[in-house]
Amino acid sequence: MSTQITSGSFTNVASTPYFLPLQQHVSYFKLTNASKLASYTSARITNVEWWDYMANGIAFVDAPTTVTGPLNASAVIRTQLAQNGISLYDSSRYTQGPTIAIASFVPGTTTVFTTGAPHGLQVGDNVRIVSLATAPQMGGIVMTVTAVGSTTTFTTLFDSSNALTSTGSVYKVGNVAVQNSSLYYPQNRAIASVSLANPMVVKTLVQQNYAIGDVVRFMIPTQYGMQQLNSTNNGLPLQFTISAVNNAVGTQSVTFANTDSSAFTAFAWAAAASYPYGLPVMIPQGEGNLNNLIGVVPAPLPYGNQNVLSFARQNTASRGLLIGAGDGTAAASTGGIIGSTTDTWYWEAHTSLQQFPQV
Amino acid sequence: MSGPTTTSILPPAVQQQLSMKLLARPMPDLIHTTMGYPITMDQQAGDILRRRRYQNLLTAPIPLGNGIVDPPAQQLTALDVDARIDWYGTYIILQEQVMLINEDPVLNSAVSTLGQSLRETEDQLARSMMEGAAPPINCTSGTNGDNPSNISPLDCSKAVRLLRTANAQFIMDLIEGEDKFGTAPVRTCFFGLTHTNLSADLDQMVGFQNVAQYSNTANLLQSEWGVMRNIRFLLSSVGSITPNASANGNDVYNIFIPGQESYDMVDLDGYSAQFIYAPPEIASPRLRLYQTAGWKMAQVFNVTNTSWIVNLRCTLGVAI
Repeated sequence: MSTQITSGSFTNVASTPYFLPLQQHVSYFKLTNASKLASYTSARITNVEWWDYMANGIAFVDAPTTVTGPLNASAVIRTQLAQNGISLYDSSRYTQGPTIAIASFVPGTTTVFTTGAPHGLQVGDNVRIVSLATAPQMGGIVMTVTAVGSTTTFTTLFDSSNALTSTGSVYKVGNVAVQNSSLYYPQNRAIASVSLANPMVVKTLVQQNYAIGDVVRFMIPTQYGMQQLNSTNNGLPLQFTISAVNNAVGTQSVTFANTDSSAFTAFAWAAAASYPYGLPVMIPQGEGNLNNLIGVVPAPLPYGNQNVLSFARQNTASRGLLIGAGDGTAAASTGGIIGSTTDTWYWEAHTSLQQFPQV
Repeated sequence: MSGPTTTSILPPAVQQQLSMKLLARPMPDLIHTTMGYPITMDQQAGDILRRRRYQNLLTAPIPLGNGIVDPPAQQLTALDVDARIDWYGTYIILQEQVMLINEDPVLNSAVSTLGQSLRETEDQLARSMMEGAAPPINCTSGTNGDNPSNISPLDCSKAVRLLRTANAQFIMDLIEGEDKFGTAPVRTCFFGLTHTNLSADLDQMVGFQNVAQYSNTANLLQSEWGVMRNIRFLLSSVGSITPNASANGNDVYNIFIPGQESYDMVDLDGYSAQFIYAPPEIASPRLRLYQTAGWKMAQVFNVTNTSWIVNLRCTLGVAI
């Protein structure tokens, strides 16, 4: 039992919150923008401080401002950042964002939703859509935000071609830094689309983080078509080996070089008339030599797949601090620690020996 | 001074006595580890346990005929299923003065609560693993208009059909009928692991048989509520719920239905659960100001055959 100080550095992705995993209790946290100290940009945050007595999401920040005059001197303004500051994060606990009304959506192979109020979502956030009165078949499904058109529009890979536009609700269940989910990887993934092609390409509604050489199977309810992917009635699973992966937000695809789906029945999200029904899912199985990726470049491994460990079940939960993103200033509504530039940050976390009063 | 001496005049020097019989703590039924297949990983052998299942060969229904040419050979293939162990633990720091002035033996309660914490952690890990790994199927034959719907007998039958078509083996043998008033035989069964909030929905199902109506109650589990078709339900207050996840934004209740050997419960040889006590002379050698007690374990749960376990998802038909 002692006072602990840990420190480190990181480089942020522009306009993207940064998750800093820290096992210990953090009593005090200090953050310095090294990129903005040497040559500051007016109003951009350079220093951040946070104590565990403070509420989540806020922080004390320093932002230099140029003072007009003969020396063009700078003054440092210290303010309390009201949003997108420092938050404690524990990924084993379910969190849910505020419920935002959906005014409508545009049916299509990807879906653009329009909200009745600013949604505050960022590309990469996971959201759940519920209570769609005239498109109930889309309700309850989690999907990744692949684009943010404006403060009241966002896009996902959901194929709503067979749906009628509807009012409804949306709320965030995970963000770009920490996906709110089960503790364990890998997980089942709901399918957004399946190509009719050789090789077959499957897109998922959220990022899947699968890898080459992983083996999966499918469960596709009859309403979606493409029953060829389902395990048959002889009791043996029909399994597929992944040959390529693109986990970028908006692509979210896995490719199966050994599967020609050209002649399969088309996959399509069902219309409201089929409601209620189950989800079409891709299910991680393991790794193996059961359908070797012969001739696929790069070949996974020289001896079958015996060294592929990417589907090893593992607990990926963590706790730590979430460093918010906004416009990089202390502005009242648009402000946030991480701004639109790629910066290098130095941080220092203190764990007190004892606190008065205890937190 | 005159008059009676009442307790207003002469109160007891110490007004309360602490009963040494401590109050019971809430202890949920830990149902999620009960069906796991226990397996131990060797020390000094890496942190990933690999298990292998060979794929079945095709049958050979074509006669060999009277020639001398061999039929084609089949290749032997296998699926490897991996799991990485992780370490878990928590602890308590007890200041010396706490031990000296509290009336009850605090360390005894500390040990008891730590033990409960360890077992509840195990249960939570198993539950969380199944939430992400057990293939989900929605109840769709209920009448509440949601997706998934409330549970119905037909949904139970569909889940069992899926498991049996995949050759999943039942967990429990049948209970034969006996000549006892108000009882009936119980089918061979899987177990359904779910939340106590579903008890009213289960009671509402036509054909649901509470444990009191089993023809033989010799091998009941404490958490068992009853049977519907080929599923005996174990309920717990820490059963799995996905909040606000239905089509209408209601809580979704996950009912995990594992077959035999569908998921592993892996620990490390000699490290399955450790209680660690550091007395004051070790934890605080200078002035012996405090002592510590904690637990630590190495553990991982893993579905080893996704065809032999399902997550039957439903919403409530009987509102809370």
